[in-house]
Amino acid sequence: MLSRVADNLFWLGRYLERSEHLARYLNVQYFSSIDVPYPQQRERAIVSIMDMVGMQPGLDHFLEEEVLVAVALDETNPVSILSSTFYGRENARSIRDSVSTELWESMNNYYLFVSGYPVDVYKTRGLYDFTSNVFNHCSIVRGKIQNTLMQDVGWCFIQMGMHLESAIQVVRILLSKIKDIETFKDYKLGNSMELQQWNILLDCLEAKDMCRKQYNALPNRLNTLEFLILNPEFPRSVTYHLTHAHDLLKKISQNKQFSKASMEFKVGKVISHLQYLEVEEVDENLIPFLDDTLQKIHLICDIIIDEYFTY
Amino acid sequence: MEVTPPKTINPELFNDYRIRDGLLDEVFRPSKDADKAYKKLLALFSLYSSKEYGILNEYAKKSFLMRGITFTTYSNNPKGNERIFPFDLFPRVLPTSEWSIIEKGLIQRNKALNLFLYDIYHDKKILKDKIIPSDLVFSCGNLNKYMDNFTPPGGIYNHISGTDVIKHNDGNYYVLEDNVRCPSGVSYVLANRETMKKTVSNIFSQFNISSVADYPEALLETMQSVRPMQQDNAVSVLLTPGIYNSAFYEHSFIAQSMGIELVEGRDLYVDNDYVYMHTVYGARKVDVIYRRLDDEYLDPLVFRPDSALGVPGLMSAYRKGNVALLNAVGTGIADDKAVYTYVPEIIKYYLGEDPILKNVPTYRCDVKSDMLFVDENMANLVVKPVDQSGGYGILIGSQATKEEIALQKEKIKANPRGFIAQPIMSLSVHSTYIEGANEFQPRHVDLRTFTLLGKDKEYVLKGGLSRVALKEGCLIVNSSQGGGSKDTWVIE
Repeated sequence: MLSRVADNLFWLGRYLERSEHLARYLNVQYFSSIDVPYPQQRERAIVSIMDMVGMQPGLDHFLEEEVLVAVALDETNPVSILSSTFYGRENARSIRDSVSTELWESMNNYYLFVSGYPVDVYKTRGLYDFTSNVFNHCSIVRGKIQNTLMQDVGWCFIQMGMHLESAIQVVRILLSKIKDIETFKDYKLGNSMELQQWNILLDCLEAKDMCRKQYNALPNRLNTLEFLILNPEFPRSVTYHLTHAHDLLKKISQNKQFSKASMEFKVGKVISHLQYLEVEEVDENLIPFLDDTLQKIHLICDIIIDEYFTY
Repeated sequence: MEVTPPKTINPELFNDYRIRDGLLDEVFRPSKDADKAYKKLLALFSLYSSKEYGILNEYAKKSFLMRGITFTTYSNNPKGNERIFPFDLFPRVLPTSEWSIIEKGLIQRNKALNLFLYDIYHDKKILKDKIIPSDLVFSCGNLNKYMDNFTPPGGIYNHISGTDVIKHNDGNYYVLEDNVRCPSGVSYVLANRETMKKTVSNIFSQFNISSVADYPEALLETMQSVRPMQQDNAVSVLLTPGIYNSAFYEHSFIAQSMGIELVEGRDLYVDNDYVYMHTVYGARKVDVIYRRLDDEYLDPLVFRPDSALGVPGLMSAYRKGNVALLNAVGTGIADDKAVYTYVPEIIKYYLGEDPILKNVPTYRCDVKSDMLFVDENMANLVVKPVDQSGGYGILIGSQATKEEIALQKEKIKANPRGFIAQPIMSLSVHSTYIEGANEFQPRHVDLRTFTLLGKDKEYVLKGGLSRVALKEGCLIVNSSQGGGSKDTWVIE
């Protein structure tokens, strides 16, 4: 496996997950805000969307439409859904000889769908249609990754990119949503309003049904946080993603001729820390904990890039 | 199911088809009867209404886009303008009786060019025997001094040749030019064939068409046949300039269809005169490189020092015999358009045979009498620079303004060796679907063929890429100049 090919596979996985998480957050935040009787919430939802994608929410006034377009279809915004699919598709294009034709074509079609979506339709009535099609395209691409590739070292790099990017996105979604919830506390809108926000957070990760089943209870602060951060079996929890990334790393390194102890050690440290945490400990210091986790995941990405992608 | 051809050609799509005087139409005779090779095909295509055919045409276009069979230009958009290479669903038919002559002629011609290249870089007998003037060869910009007295693995220079052939008014095939550096276009032959099968399967299945699917295998065998030291498990790769190259699709397609690694210059390095690639588990030795990079970019240590696309030290590894390159370095001398005029002599000199395929009569501007003729008759000639490809720099006298002709004359006076001229050859025309008009009209076509030479191995792709000049009356068919293509069927 060429280092450059591994690099492109890794980023293909990352851009794929990034685009889907952006679309899901956009979809859930937007539609959950439109039928709530508090005008602040609508505005807050837009701010939260900007925060999640890393745009500057400091501005006093902004046009809702502009934000919605910037997040989805703005080619000058490097973190828009359009840019993510563009870069993901460029990654796939540069290594299309190394992957299956089916995977390449599914990624190509995904990009052609996004880049061909009419902006005026999107901002007036197409947000639901656009985002649900994004989910579908992502599912197709993911299916081609699972079913049409050798599950060899190259596949491990795609999966690793997917898990690490997902972990990043889950933490970002948690951070944005928790900031939302803190803001609502200030408005003193009552307990039911806050509970509603935990439901929305779970929806952002398609996790509500499984969370309710797991606890036989309605979502609240502690069970939601525990489920999304620490549950080892739910495929969108931070722990799940990082454990799998760690396993993949071990699989990739086992063929290495020289010891990789230090690298695995660093990654293992982040993971094992999560495995022995209790949700109360996490909640004591929630925002710093999430910030710290985010930083550590970025560090893992840097280590992998240094180790495997030099050419 | 056998379809009985109707007596007259139906309607709609061919209704207003105009036979143009003085041009050879491959599909229709001057009487407007179909040529016998096309009778059945026309009957089948005539089953479509204009509307149905328009839908098929759109479908074919969309399938190219969806499969990413595109070329991208970056001239005014950093993210690139992605376009499909226009494709015409009405195929060109070459009866095997005509094709077998072309095939023999191509092998003869390209073998002779290979012997010529060996001779030029070794004893230069052809110059000593005064068959070709030495000046002509030594003044060629593509002569490469690093190839002197070096024999590439297997003794092969032009492993892959893209010879352009035209059919003239007189019904004969002529070679218009040789391309023995990095000829492109073969991926479109294979992609066009796939599209044809999917789009007009009902028509396709009515014919017994020579397959083109064996090309990747033949190319891989050619690569393996020239591996250094005939070692087992030789590693072959395809070297591309990268995704921003307009032919990137072709590079990745060919690599994928052979199952070999597609590499960029930065993936390779040279250590102790061996070539390696960077993999996630360290270095892996590379033995055979099909490079789609021009000579001057290959190795910044000996050619262009600013080339970021090449591999420092590659030429040294090559000269040590540790790696094979396809095509060899320095082959540009053989497709120089002034050298072209001597190819019939080259064939006779090395093979002792008469050329099977004719050259287009050509005037060399560095020969005084020719120059005078060109000067007086430019309005009836095509003037071409000797060292360019892709249809660039060509002047077609009959379509040029007085100013353009005057300017061209200046250029020739300043550099006579730099230009040749040919009579305006009436390339044959072929029925081509014209969007907008929604009907078929005659358009000029040529044929890019693909010949492979390996150690004790030769192969010609059956058919090739029929290139169509989509603009009415236009004679330049190159894709870089807005040309399209057709599937080409060799059938009994």
